[in-house]
Amino acid sequence: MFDLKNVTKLFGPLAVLDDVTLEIATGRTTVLLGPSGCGKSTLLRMLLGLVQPDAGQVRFAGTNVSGNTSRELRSKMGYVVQDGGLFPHFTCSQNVTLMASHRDWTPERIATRLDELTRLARLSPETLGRYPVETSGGQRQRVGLMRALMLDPEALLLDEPLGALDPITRADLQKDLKAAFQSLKKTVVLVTHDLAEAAHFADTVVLLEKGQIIQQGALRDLVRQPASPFVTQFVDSQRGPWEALREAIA
Amino acid sequence: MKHLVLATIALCLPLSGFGAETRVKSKEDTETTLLAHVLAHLLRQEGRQVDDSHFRLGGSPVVWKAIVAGEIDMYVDYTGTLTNQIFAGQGIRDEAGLRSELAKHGVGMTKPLGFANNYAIGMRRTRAEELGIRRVSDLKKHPSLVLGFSNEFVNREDGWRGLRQHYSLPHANVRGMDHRIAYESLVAGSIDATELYTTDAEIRRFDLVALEDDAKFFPIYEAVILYRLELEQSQPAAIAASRKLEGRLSQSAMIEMNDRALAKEPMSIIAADFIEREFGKRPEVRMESNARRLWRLTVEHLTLVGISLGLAILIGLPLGVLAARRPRLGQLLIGGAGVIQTIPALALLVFMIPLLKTGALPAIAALFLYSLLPIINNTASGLLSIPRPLLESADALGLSRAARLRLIELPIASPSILTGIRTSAVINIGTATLGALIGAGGYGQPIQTGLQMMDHREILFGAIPAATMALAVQGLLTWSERLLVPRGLRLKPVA
Repeated sequence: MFDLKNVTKLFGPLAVLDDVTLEIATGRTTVLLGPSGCGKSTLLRMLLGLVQPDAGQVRFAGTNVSGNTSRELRSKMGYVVQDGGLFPHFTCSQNVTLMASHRDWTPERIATRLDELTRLARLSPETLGRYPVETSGGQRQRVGLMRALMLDPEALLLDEPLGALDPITRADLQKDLKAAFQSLKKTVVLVTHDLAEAAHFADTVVLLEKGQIIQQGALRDLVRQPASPFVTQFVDSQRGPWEALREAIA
Repeated sequence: MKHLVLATIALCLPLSGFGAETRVKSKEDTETTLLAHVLAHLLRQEGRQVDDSHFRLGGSPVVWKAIVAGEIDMYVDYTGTLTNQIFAGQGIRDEAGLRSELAKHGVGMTKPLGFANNYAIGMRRTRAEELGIRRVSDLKKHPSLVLGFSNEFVNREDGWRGLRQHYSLPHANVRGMDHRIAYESLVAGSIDATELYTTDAEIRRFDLVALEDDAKFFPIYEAVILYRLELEQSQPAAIAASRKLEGRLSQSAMIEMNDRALAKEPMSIIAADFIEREFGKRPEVRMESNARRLWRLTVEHLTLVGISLGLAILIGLPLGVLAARRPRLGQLLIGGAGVIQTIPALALLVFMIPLLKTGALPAIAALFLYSLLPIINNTASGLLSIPRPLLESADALGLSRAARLRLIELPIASPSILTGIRTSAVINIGTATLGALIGAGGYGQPIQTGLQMMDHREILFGAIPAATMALAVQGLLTWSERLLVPRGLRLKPVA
């Protein structure tokens, strides 16, 4: 679905992405994993054409993603950012249906689609009438997902979708997101720094550090056959609360 | 609204010299304004129409430029002002010389009206008699006297500087102060002498004496009516009416009129009384009621504010968007608008005169420039403060630049933009009161008149409505935010 060849992006003298070549498979969930500043968000935004590479090529379904062509391409991609990125002056349902109205869908078609998505995102209908400030973080994220899926895109791109949530909300949403991904069978690219999240969602994990891909494949392989000491270090640093708890009790 | 539209149309039409109207204006001082009222009555008796709702156009240079540009037909000035201020340094010696210089600018002059309003040195009568001072040269014998002059007089060549040289006066204790304060200090005895104008009503009121200018230092300031020479063909009746006043105004008649004006009698009535006594026929005095006057001033003021603010929104908003899109150009724009903001309002108004002459048009232009900065600034900063994830979300949805601006950015920036408009409106309403200095009318007119005449009631007649309008407009705009700012931006987040 996505095809990156020798992509480099410079911010000043610093290479945020350094000669990255990557293929993202259709219909599967790929997780871009790495510590903050590793270039994973830039890579995701580059897939959408929000960031242009300084060198190399990004292709989506065989078409070059560039400033001019990407607006049409973007309707084939859905994008969800941390905290939903909802427009504060629109209600939740206006946020979801914005592009459909802009493209002159009929009210019936909009209503039907909205209904489908409300069930998929497991959102209560009364929440849809509220403004974003009147909703919780988890609800905003669900609305963000609905907005991204409104035009039925081929790919769904999510940037730290669970980043700003408390643990309980997070666990709920994580479960519902996974169910949605499985029922939709779309190409999903998800960015996170959280190993457990990657384990939950990923068919394929791409581990980045300092703008370069360190290792990619199933998570199991990363843990069992680390390509470099950094992989081990990254995995060990996220052994999670159970280990910490066990040590504290012992 | 209808009045606003009509007023706008009236403003756009050039002030015409056609028809039955003679455009009389005056300088800012009481005396020439009184004389404009006298002239207006005489013109009306000759069948001319005169608008006497606001005579005071500005200082001598402003009124002079207006008559040369053909925007007004007549006004009263003094020969001394013309030779020493308007034609300063051109060495005009006599009436014939002045007349031919005026003619070069297409301006004619009547014979002197009778009285002269010269500079003189004045003292309290009792103090002068006690010291035996009658003439300016007598001052030399009393070097310890304390002199207080207006700041302008202290520094003028035809004021204290020249006088001291001319008479070899030895006084070291000379203070510069406001002309009116100087009068009060003289009466209170804290200074011994000050400069007077020889027709000042205060001379009689405070029992002062004007010392004889025995070495002939002060120039003669004889009142004359200036008119556009072209009027001799187009309005012979107006010329005839103004000639009637030649030699008819004695020193004592002028002092009496000034005295009554100082007592706040309506100028139109003072002028009518003079004409009845001098020419035997009482002119009809049409007094404008307070309510009518307030309504007229309000319409004038709203016109100035409405048009200038409307234009500032129309132009400032796109400039603000441009400033947000192109940061470097934005700095230039905001910097430029900021520089305009630092020009004192009065100076900006005066700069407008050569470009747009006097009246409402230059005032609107100046107010427009003043209103730009808050609108450009708040539009730009409102747009720039939108979080980047929101803009990227809009881009990722596939909205075009124009659609993103219209659907997302402007609505989210609307509270900031409206705050800018509100700031502009309040500044604009306050600054518009200065428009009266260049003949634009509005609430500034009673304020300026009141300041000239030390008439607090008159000042408040302009100041209170201006403040009320500022508050009302502020309230109206705050209320309109409820309609214009989307509800989602006004809600408080849930805890």
